[in-house]
Amino acid sequence: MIDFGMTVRIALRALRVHKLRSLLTMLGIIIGVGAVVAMVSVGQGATAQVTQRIASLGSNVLQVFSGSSASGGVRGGAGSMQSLTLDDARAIAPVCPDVAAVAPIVSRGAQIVYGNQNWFTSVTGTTPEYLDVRSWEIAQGDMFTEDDVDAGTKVCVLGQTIVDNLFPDEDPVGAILRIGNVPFTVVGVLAVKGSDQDDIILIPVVTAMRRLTGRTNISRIMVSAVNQKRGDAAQEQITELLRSRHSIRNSEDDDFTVRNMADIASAVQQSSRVLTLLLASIASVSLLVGGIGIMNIMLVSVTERTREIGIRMAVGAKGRDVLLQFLVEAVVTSLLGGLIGILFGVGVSQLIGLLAKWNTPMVPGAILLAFIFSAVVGIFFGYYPARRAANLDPIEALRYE
Amino acid sequence: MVGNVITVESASKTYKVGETEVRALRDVSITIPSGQFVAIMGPSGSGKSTFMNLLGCLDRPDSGSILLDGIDITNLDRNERAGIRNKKIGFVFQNFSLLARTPVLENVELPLVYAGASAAERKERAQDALTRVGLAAKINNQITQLSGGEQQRVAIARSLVNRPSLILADEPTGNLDTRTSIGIMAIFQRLNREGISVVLVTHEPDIACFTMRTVMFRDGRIVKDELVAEPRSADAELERAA
Repeated sequence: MIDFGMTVRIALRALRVHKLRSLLTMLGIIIGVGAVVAMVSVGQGATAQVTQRIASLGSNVLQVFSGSSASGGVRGGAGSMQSLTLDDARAIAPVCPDVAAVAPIVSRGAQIVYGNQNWFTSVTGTTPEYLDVRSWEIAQGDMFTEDDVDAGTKVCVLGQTIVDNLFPDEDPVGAILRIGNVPFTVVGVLAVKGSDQDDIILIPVVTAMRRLTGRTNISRIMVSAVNQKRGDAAQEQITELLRSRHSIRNSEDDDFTVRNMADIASAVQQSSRVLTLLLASIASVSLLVGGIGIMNIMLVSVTERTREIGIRMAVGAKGRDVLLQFLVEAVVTSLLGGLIGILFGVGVSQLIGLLAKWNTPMVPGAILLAFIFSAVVGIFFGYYPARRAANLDPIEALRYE
Repeated sequence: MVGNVITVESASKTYKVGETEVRALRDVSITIPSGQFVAIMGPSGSGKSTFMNLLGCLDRPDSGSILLDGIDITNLDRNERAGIRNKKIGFVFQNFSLLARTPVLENVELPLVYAGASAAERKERAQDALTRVGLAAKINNQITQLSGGEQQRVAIARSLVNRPSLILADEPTGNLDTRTSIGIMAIFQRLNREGISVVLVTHEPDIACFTMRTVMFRDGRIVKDELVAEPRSADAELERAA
């Protein structure tokens, strides 16, 4: 019985003899493994990115939107009906036990002007409880108060992005800027949250209704549940309350929509997981194609080396020695391809991570799996040619020219 | 113990080529004592190649029996025959049949690889075999760097390395010029004097005259089997030519 190290040496020599051919044979495996590794890594990075964004929004947050209007068969889409009022928002907290905090939202895009700087952003009219709902802190100065809300005071709290753009080298607290044409006093600055949620400006909700929208209804209500698990319960309680407040009969549809961030988060995660799986399985098709390439070249190699096989058999190589030799050659080819593919895949995923400014983690499980899979491809597609070599008749093989 | 290295009793072999049956060997019986140097002769199609395949444990007879070194090799399976070839037989072929792109030493080591010898033992025995054929200096050369005669000597070294009971040489001088051929025969004669049995296929009487016994095949039968009255010495021929 021939020893294994010797078999590997013979295989490596055979691969060296036809360098270009070996490389081309490996290419299928390189691309397959590389694609699987890169896809999984980028997919995980994307999922993590989305999850992080949603988490920073607050995974226990629910949003209540006004429903869609329908007039003469034309449906306006979510929010078109303007059915939510400030009183709806104020009614929620006292009667819904699983609700922790409630913030009404009135939002509208506006040009912000300070000195010779200006910036367009979405202005959010809300109450101080907004900070509780979003678990957000004030970094500098103070949040405006309930009194400011009731009185419709012209004060505002800025996100860091606004500060960076309008007050490059100045303390914003106490400054007076204009939203549209209305002057507002800056009372505070929000802590940095990242993923550009800092491009925000908060003002009292009543001020927003009077000065910006000129309407008596609000855009939506943001609610935080006591914890993520109670999100569904809070959703039911809010739905029940608003149906009774809006006098909706049992047979009628809601004139509002409650969206649960936890649901959205899991839906997004689910879909990106499915996408990753899909991409990885498409990539693994190329592993299969690579395997067929190996089988093809191994068959050519067996035919080309019929004489060599004959010589080896004449001096005493048994069937399994020849089988092992060609099998090892196929596996060495596919494993070498797999190794190069892993390096290639990691390189590509790091590059994508660099360009997209994501973290694309190396996934040891995927790398291991790709490596094992390429070995299995080698064994599977190498077996038939190796078997063919092992079953050659030594007399015929020796006579082969 | 001086016994018979080969005992063949009424061996027959028939091939099917398409529809027609070719009776390659018909009832051949022969014994070859240990230490003999035998030439097998005959025109192509006479059955000598088939006979060599049987002796070399590459094939099985349809009927009859073959003993090699006292072992019945008639009905061994593929793997058992590979084992016998590995331990008992050394092959030398007309076209040298060496592995190209493989150094001389590794070519000679090949039978020992399949015998499972350690790397150190393989190297020592291969060096020894190469010394015996006068190629100690070419150990690290590539096969392609050697002349035809040298390549055939590497093949002889390979056939020696597993210390076989029998060397089977199939037209070993067929691709070589006369002078080189005599050199190869000198090596066979020397090995034979050291006690190794050699069976050599040739169709050249000039080569057969260096052996002790000539066996003539025709139409699958042995038609002539006689001792060579006075075997010529290849060493003496070489000296005379020089």
